[in-house]
Amino acid sequence: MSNPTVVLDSGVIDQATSNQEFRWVLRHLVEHGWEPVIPTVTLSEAITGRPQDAPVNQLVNRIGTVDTDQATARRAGQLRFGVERSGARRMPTGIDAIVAAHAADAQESVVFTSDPSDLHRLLVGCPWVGVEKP
Amino acid sequence: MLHMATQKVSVTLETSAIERARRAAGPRGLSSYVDAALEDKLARDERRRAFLDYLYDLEANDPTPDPIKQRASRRAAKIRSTPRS
Repeated sequence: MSNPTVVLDSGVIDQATSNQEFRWVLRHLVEHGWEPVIPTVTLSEAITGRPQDAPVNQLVNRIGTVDTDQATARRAGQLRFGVERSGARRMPTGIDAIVAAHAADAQESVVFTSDPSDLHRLLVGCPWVGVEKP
Repeated sequence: MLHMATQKVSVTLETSAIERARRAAGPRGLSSYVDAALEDKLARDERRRAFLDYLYDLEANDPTPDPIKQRASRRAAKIRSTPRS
């Protein structure tokens, strides 16, 4: 049985360094066995190549990122199609879908994101995944 | 081609888990399957440890006030205890 997972979306990776309350939430979860996951694809939104990337780089250099394998990418496609089929006017991005799929892969997980609405829509059929803001 | 050094070890595992692993491993063989599972588990545990060390370092340089810690702990406890099925 896999451990519960904490997935960080692009917009919150820097806050794991800079936001004290969020740091303590993460610390509490990880001390209780939850696994932190930063999907590699989130770097395409979190990194700009400027010095302001420092908080993201510090964390990523310490814990690394998790690559997306074919099974997870396929799940992302299914989650995204589920939103499309529901008739939503605004489609979540492929990156949002991959983040959601990493969370859905675990038996229990929470995704921290700066924009919960798209993640909620992607994960509507995955009640074992929580969606939270930092 | 790079060959990793290997070592024969004796470990005690649940019979049902061994049977399931043999079936899942197929032609790759049980050793290869267990080796991959162990690598995966080690990577996960090492990532958890590295993340905690990172958070402890940040806290040492930028201590969080107690009221914020308490609020955060309540919030994390709520996330952990939320039933998800």
